[in-house]
Amino acid sequence: MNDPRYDLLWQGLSFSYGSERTIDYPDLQIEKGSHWLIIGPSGSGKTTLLNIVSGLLKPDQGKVIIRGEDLYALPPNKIDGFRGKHVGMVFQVPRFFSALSVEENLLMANYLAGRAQEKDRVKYLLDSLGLSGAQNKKITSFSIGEKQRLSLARALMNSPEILIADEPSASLDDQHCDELIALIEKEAEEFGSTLLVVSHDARLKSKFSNQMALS
Amino acid sequence: MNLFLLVWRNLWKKPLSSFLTLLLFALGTAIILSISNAQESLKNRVKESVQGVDMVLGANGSPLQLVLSSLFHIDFPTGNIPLEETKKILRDPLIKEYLFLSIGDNFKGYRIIGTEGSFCGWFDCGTIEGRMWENDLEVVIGAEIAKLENLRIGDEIHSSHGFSEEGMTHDHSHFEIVGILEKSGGPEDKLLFCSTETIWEVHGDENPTDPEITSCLIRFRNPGGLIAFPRKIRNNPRYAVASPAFELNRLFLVFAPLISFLEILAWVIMLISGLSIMFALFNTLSDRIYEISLMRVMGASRVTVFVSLCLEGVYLSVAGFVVGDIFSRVLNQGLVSWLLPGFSSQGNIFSFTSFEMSLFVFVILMGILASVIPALIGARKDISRVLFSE
Repeated sequence: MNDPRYDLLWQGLSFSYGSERTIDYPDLQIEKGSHWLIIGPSGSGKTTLLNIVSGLLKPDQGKVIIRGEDLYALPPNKIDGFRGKHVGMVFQVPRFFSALSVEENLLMANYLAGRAQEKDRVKYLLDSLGLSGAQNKKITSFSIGEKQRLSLARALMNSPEILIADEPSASLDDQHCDELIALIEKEAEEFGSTLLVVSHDARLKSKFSNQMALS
Repeated sequence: MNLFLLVWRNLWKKPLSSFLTLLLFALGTAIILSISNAQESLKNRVKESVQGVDMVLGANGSPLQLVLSSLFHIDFPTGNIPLEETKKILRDPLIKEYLFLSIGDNFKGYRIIGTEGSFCGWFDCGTIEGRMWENDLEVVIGAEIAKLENLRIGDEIHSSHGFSEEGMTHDHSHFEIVGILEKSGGPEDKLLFCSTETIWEVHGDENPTDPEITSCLIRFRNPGGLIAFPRKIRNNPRYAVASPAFELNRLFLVFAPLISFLEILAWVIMLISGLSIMFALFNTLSDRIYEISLMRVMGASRVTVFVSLCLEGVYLSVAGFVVGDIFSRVLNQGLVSWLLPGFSSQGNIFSFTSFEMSLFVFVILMGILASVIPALIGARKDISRVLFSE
């Protein structure tokens, strides 16, 4: 279980929605730096899996091991901090603290994870994502596409070992879908993060060699 | 970047709602502190003014009027009393000392008090710039008059009859300013003092056959005088006596119901301010579920979320207290001057009373208390389905 080759693995995961339905997830071991696609239709349990893997929803059975640490063996008050430090997340609908500027939003990721605040890293990430000079701008002044890139920048602020992207290509046309996935993969590659993309979008099947299908 | 800044920015996101809540807190604080400080100031000032004056003897009339006109110079005197008969009455072993006052003229609305050279032992004169009067028509003036009317030692002034400057002017009498009193914050700052003989002379009666004065301040040798002396003059229809302490207590009792009402009103406003914080937080909880979820996903614990929501209540209540406190200090000065003209509020404007400190702690606790329930609900929200897609 504590194999240093794997950044993330789960084993025997099971979650039940009351007495009506139980989802049993196939075991998975994700090697450091690898890129994985979890694909499945709506209702297949993708969201539940994301919640479980990110420490937000305790499974009924099974273990989630991140960087050799059994996530749910940690005291509940440590799980949040652990997630902040080791896991970066990109959501389908990018959300931000609307009262804060771009730089403040990104620095918040440092602050809430209990890390030193790195303004240089904010600049570096914004530059590398084609958003140079956006530090002091309000979030409301950006398009959806730009917000998705900002969301990616925020997820990378703490140099996470694991980068999780939830339905990143939803509502994007083919061209933008290709660009965004390429960007996420490039950034994950550059920062050495293990990438886990969760989607129902069949267009992504051709982009990932590592896949797990939920039904 | 930190939690405090995030909370601050969140408050600015809804400026009107935040401002109204802050205003309510400020209003409650200002009323409570103003009443408390004005009461304290008034009581201290009044205590200082009546200190050492056991009784006031004057013409028959309202005892309160007698006290207010002779000690605080804010009401009309009850009339005049004959000097010779008064001297006879004052020949009493119970009386340690007394001071004659002749009141009835003014300079530009400031009252001129005819009295004796020993008046500094009765009023708070401080140091006199210049000298005391030595001759008739020499006058010593209060510090505020000198400042407001730009008067200096050696200047000449004319008095008017009565207490308003529209009264008949005594053009024939030229007062010379020989001294200026040090500022005390009491009524003497806005009074002019001269000899009793000067008052008679101004009224064209240099050597009156039956001279009169307005009132007389009395100090007894022992408290027994307070009981025995009034009995002595009870049957004399020309005179009235009044104990300043007793009369002022009665005056405060008149104000007591109004003060109580204002205090209750202020506490109700404070309560409403607390409730407005609570409702404002409740109303915004559904809007901010995404931000709460973001915080959690980025590593914040439930405790951090709880603290951030409570901080909003604390920020609003503390800001309301600060605004209210500043406002109360301004209001306090006006309130004291309005209730007792001539008086100024006591104390350093930058000093804090123990009551203010207690109220500050109370306000913080109220801010926390008002936020606790919505903060608990916010912190305990199940965020597992908020940010991820279905």
